Amino acid sequence: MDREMVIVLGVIGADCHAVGNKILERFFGDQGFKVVNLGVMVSQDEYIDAAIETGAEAIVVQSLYGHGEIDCQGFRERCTERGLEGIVMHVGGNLVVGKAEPEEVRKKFLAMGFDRVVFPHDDLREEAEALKRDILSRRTA
Amino acid sequence: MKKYLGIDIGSTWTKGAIFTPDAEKGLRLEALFRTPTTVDDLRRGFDTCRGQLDPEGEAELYYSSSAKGGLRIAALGVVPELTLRMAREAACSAGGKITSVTAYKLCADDVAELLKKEPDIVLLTGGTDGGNEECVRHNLELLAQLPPELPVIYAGNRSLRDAVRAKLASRELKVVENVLPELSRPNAGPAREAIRELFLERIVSGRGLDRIVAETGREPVPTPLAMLEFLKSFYEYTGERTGFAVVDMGGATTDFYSACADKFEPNVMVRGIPEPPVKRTVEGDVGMRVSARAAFEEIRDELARRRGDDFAEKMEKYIDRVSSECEYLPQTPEERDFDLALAAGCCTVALRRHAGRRRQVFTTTGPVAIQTGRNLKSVSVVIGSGGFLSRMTPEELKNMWWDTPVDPECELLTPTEFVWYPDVEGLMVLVADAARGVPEAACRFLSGRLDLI
Repeated sequence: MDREMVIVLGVIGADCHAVGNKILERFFGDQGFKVVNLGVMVSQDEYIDAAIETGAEAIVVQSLYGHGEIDCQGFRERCTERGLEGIVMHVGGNLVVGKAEPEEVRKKFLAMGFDRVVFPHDDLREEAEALKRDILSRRTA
Repeated sequence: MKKYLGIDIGSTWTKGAIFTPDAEKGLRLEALFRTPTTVDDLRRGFDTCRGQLDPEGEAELYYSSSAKGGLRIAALGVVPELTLRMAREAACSAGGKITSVTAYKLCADDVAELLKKEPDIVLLTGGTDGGNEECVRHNLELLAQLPPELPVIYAGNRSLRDAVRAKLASRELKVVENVLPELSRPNAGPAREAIRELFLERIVSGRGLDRIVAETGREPVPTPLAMLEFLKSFYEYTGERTGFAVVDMGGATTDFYSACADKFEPNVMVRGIPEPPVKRTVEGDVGMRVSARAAFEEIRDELARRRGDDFAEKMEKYIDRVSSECEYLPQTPEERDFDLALAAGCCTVALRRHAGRRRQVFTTTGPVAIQTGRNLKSVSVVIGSGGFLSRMTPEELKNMWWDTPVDPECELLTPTEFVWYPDVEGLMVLVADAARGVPEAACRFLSGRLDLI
């Protein structure tokens, strides 16, 4: 039997948007993931602590209030430093303030070390598939 | 008439109290007695105490023991704030004394350090169920090399139980439910029970306790466990309306118990593992005699700010004296003042380590406080127990806590309005013993003493 895929989910920084977080918890659960949901206002270290303790294979970061770029800076490096080298990291939401070209935003977050960037109108089922693919390819890497 | 006898075998005194039922107050205290603990054979002191209070042997007996200062536990976990925190909580709530804590992967130096502290038990946790395996597997390799007489309790990731049994087959091993099966579901109970069982097997078998068990047909519980269980039932008895705390300060350690609920407050975000309604923490480096030096080091700067450098310097000489002569009692008003300052420092350190914290974060919708740990704001009654605090006047007790927060950016969640009660006759633990037989009557007795209802 395939090993269960554990993911850590949460809204980063000083962001208290709770509704999207509840929806994604439910959605990823329905898609067969074991979701460790940390809720809102989660710090980088809390994601990392939870991922280490639960043996999670991915961290899914939500951000809705536009400060995602500041909150996510150095996250990949911190994961590496704390022993989660190469863990799958996805990020999604309203990641920057104001109108910015999605491609620009994507580039920025990929450069920060995220494996995938998701925008408000993207299809969530595609995201779930991509997450599974990323986890599987890391297992065989 | 039915009688209840509570006896506590402490490290210095063996104390006993005899109670009879009382329709109004729950229990009536008939007599108190204490005699020095006979360290080489605990039975002598116990028998003296029992013979004095209940010569006919007709009372129902409940007793506790903090002999050897309780069970010494080395706690291991993965993440400090998660499984390691739960391991500490399980150890403290079982009445144990933590000798060392180690997070993540052990190295040979950690193992040497762990052994140097001479624990009675190793409590191995790590990984939620189905979670982290790597750290626990790594630690198992090193733990397999420990002396075979040192028992291990495994309360970690369920998936690794077989591996644990295989690796640690040659030693005494108890495998129990995970202390943290999921991040939101703390579960200290089974590990606590395993520690209690080992307490009976290990501590009871030495220095005459086994003979007491054979003669009385009753088993002792660790003193802090008796207290914690009693405080739990007392908290339920008060309808969880009155938050309270007990500070039990001795020569070597300071125990801090609290029973309180966190009220919902707007714009406060509570993070971390949920807090239990009743909790004990124990500070092994904070006390009035054996630990006076370590406690003084911790409070020195703050004390110098409060009382002046001159005071702190003079006090240091006194600290030197009492830490080498543990029986020493203050002879002058000045020495008494040093003892009071030390006691206040010990209480403050124990409180600050027990209490949670709040820090302000500014969000797009305004300021929000992020809270971690235990909120003691609703604590309205504080009982001062142990040889020193129980002999203080209510007036002296009022100065037992320093109020300045350690970090101005970060609010400490300490009690705001409360009343101190000295545990004048050292009754708390004896009532706690009797409470194992008559919990409701014991609660009524205590609430009468505290004028709570």
